[in-house]
Amino acid sequence: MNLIPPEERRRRPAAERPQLPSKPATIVAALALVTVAAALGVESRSLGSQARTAEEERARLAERIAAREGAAARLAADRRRLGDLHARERRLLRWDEERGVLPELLRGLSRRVAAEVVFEDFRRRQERIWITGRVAPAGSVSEATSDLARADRVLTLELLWVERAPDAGLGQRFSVSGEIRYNSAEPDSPGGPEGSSDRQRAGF
Amino acid sequence: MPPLRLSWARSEPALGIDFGAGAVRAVALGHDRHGISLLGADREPLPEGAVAGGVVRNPEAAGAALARLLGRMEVRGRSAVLGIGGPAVFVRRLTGVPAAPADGPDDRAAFREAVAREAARHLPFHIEDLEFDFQPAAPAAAGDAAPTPGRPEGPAEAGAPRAPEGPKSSVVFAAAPRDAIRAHRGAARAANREASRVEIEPYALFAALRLQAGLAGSAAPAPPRPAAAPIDPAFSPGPPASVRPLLLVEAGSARAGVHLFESPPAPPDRAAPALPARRDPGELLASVQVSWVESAAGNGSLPASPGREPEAPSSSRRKADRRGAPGPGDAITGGLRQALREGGRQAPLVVRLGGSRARENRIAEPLAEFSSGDPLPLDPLGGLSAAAAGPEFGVAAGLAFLRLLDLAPASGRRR
Repeated sequence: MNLIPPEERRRRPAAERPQLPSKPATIVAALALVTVAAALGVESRSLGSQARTAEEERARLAERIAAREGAAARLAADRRRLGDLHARERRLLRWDEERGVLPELLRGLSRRVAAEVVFEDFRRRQERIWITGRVAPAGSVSEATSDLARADRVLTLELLWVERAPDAGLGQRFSVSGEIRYNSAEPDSPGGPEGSSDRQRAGF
Repeated sequence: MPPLRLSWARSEPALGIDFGAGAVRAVALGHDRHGISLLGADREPLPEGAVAGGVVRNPEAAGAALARLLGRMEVRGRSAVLGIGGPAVFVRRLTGVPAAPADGPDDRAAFREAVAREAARHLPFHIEDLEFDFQPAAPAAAGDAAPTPGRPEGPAEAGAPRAPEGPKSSVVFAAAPRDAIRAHRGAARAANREASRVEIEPYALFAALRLQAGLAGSAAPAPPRPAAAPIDPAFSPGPPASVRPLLLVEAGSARAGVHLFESPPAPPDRAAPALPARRDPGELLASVQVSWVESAAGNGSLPASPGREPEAPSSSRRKADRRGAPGPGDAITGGLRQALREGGRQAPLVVRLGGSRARENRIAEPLAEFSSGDPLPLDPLGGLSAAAAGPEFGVAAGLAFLRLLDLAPASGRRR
């Protein structure tokens, strides 16, 4: 039995049962809320710390990557330079070997001097040469040096000393020094005309 | 009286409010898987004239007292069930209502209109000035003496619209002045509460007895009720001889409500702490209001006159004459006899007494001759370890129990 008019009863169902939580449930909910809030706070702080650490680590990695890239660039340049140096060295060695090889020089000199001239020692330091030999008879030393001086590769020639040979049969010993001339220029490239043109320009 | 807070609520408390002549009483109940718990029970005196004749006359003063009471009880919740009783409430059992049609909204409205038409033939007021409701009832037995007491049908109602011929059904009809309902709700609203239900006193007392029986276990005062009587008038076997009618008396300071029911409530199922079915309001047979005048010395009522016919029911709004007025015992006895006549029942009865004067001998002793046992006080809160509450909280406890049933989920009542 309900003496409230039916039309007014029907207007109130929404507010009929607010279903308020009980006091223990409220306490439990509040404790749970505080616990969750505390956990969220701790987790938030942890995540913030991790984010900062990750940011710093990214910065360090970026620096190391930049340093590594710089080192790699420098290493590449050095490697290129080293390769160039190696190529130049090989080129120069080949060129030096071709243009200043002692046997070839000796063969060239031998064709210019008389058969009585014997070379005992021949030393070269870059463009400077020292020749020690003997010639018989003794009066042919000047002819021998003149012959040497007429060789195309010899720029200057200076008689250093003349002495009598220990064995009289072979005349006198002499020593001369001089400069030889490199006619060939330094090769521009590894594949360029080096030895053959040098040898042609050397006149051998 | 200090507020009684014996348990914590699990959800919105079920609040019952009873505006009495001298005080407003409130009971708050809760329910959880352990059963029903008492959240609070307390009273607050009312100013003189705030409530008179069971009707709130000064909603502001009554609301202020209620607000103080609820604030002291620390009861949450916005909704409450209010009780109304006294001579302002008109309660009749009507048998000539056309049978209830199907259960559609239009059908219910049409049935309500039919009930209103039938009630208008018995009411001494205009139905438009009343708020009313009705409760389907079992059809009257063939031997019932006075199924529709009050103003008998006769030529005076010849001009009133008659219900069409056809199958008839019975209802318990209750009405109260619209202003009285508005004043009750206004008082509750002044205390920041909204009335979800305004229940009449007999059903509140019956609910209190259900609450008491459910809480006390063995307190069921009578054997189980028979199965619900069928609506078809052809089936009217009547209760077994072992089932006594139930008489509930709400004895106040200067008035009493005498309510006769077909039988006491069924004993509850003790297997689980569940709420019982909601639709068990009790089969109300008759409801009579009586009043008396206290002696000028203030030491009780005027002496009873055993051989004298008691004061007529106050439903006719007649006031007792101070000089010839009966005492409370005689007045209640007279109301009991009238209720028996209206209900077509005879003694012995199961008698339970509620109200502020339920423990007085001069109230209980005259009823002993009608009772199958000693008339016992109706103390529903006694099973909740609230012995200090007493029978004066019977109506409020019953209202709170009804609110508890209203709040319980329809499908999950056994929580």
